[in-house]
Amino acid sequence: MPYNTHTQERYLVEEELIERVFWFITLRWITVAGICTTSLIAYFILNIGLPLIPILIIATCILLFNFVCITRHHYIKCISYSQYIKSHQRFANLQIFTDWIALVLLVHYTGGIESPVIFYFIFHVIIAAILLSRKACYLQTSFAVLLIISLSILEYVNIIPHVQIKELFPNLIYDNSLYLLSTLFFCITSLYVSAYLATSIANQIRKREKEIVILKDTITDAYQALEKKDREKSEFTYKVTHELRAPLSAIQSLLKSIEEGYAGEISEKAKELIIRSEKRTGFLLTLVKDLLDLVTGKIGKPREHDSKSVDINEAVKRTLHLMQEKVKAKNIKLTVNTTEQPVCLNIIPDDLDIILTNLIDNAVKYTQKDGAITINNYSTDDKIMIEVSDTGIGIHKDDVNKIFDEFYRASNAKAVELDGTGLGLTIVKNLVKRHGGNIDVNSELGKGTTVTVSFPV
Amino acid sequence: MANPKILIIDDDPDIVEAMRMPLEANDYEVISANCGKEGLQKAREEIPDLIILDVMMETDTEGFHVAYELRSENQDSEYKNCRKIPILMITAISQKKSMSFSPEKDEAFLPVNDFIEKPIQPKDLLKKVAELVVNKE
Repeated sequence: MPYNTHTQERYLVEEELIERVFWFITLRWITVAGICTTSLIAYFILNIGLPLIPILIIATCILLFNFVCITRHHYIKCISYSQYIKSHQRFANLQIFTDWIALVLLVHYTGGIESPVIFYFIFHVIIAAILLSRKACYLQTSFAVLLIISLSILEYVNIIPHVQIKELFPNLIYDNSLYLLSTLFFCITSLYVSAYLATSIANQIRKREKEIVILKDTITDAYQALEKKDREKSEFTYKVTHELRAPLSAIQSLLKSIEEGYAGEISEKAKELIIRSEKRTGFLLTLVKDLLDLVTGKIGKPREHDSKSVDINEAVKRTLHLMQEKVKAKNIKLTVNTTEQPVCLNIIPDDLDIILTNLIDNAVKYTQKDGAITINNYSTDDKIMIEVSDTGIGIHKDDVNKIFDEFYRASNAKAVELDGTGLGLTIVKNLVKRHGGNIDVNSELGKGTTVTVSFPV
Repeated sequence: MANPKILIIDDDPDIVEAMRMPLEANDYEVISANCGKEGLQKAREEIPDLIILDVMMETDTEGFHVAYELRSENQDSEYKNCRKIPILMITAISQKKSMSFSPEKDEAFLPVNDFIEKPIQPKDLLKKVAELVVNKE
C-alpha cells in the first residue's frame, strides 16, 4: 500500500510538471506577440527610437526556439517514466536558461541598465520557482543576476556599446556608477526576494498537493476496505441462511405430513398446534429466502453473461400469472398498460422477477378488498420504467425514507399484515441498484402508493 | 399388479421421511438412498417406476450428475435400463432461480421430468408422482 501511495503521488506531481512546462511554452507565444506589438507601438506610434531590427530578430529567435520546444514536448520519448520526468525537468531548466539570454539581449537593445524591460526578470524568477525545485530556482536566479551584472559592467566599461533610448533618458546615466550600483542592488535584492517568496509559496502548494493525494488514497483505501468488509458480511449471511434453509425445509415438510394425518390420527388441538408451528417455520423460510435475495444483490456486480435481454411486458405478465390467485381472492381490479412495442431490458432475468414479485406482492398485500392496482410500463430514449400503483393503505410521510431500511416495517403495514420480513423493498432497492437503476416512491397515507423503478437503456 | 415402486435419492433423512409417509399411505412402495452413488446402484438393481432426486447433496451438483448418468445415451452405460424411468427433481426455494431452468424449456439441458420445491407439500407431491407414474405406464 505505501508503495502504491508513493507512486500515485509521484505520478500526480510529475504529471503536473509536464502540464506546467506546456503552459510555459504557451506563455512564450504570448511573450513573442507582446514584444513585437510593444516595440512596434513604441517605434511607430510613440516615436521612440528603438533598434527595431535587433529586437525583432530576438523575437524571431524566441519564436523559433519555441517551435523547437513544442516539437520536443510532443516527441519526448524515453524508456521509463522516470526518465521521461527527468527529461522534462532538464527541458524546463534549458528553456528558462535560454529565456534569460533572450531577455538580457532585449534589455541590452532597449537601454541596458536603464531599460524598463529589466522588470521582466522578476516574473521569470516566479516561473522558475513554479517549474523547478528550490535549488534550481536559486541557481537560475543567480545566473540571471550574473547576466545583469555582466551586462551593466561591460556597458559601463564600454566593452559592449550602450544603446541609448533618447526619448526615455535624454541624459546618459548608465555611466553614473552610483546609479548603476543602486539599481543593481535593488534589482538583485528584488530578484532574490522574489525567488524566496515564490519558491516558499510553490513549495507550500506542492506539499499540500502531496497531502491531498495521500489523503485521497487513504480515503480510497478505507472505502475499499469497507466495501470488502461489507461483501464478507454478505457472504457470511449468504452461507448462514443457506445452512438454515435445509433444516427448516425438513421441519416444514415433516410438519405438513403430520398435519395431513400421514403419521396417524392426531387430536384437533395437536393439529391446531402443528398448523401454528408450520406457520412460524413458513415465516422463517420466507425470511431465509428474503435474506438470500437481499445478499445476492450485495455480493457483487452481475457478470456480463448472466444478463439477458428481457421484454418487460413479458416479465410483468409472467409475474402476474403467478399471483393471479392472490389478486382474485381480494377482488382487486388489475390494469396493466404495456408499451406498444416490446421493450427489452438487459438484466439478470431472476433479478427482474424478484423485483416485480416484491413490488406487486406489496401492492396486493397492502390494498384492501375491491381496490385497484395499475402497472404502467414506459420507455423513453434513455430509460425503461415500470410503475406499480395501488389504492392501498399508503405510507406515512415519516416512513417513506425508512421503508428501504432492512427489517423496517411501517406501523400501518404491520396492522394489515402481521407477518412480513421488512426486507422486500430493501431487496428491490439493492437489485435495482445492482443494475444501475433507480427506485422512487410516491405515497399518500390512506390513498395509495406508486413505486417506480427505472433502468438506464 | 404390484404397487408402483418409488426411489427417493436424498441425503436428508427427514425429507425422505416426510415424503415416505404420504407416499406409503397412498400405496406406493418407497425405497431410499442417501447419496448419489447408492441411488444409482439402487436404480440399476430395483428399476423403480419413479425416481425422486434431490439437486444438492454432498456437492451442489450431485443431483445433476445422477440425472445425467441415468439418462446417458451411451450404448454401454450400465444404467441403460434406467433411461425411461421418470425423474422428479427436488429443488429448494430460491435455488431454482439461480439455475434458471424450467422443465419445458430446459429438458435437454437437465434431463428430468418435473420439479418439486422444498418444503414438500404432500398434496403437491402426490399429484406430481401420480402424473409421472401414470404417464410412464
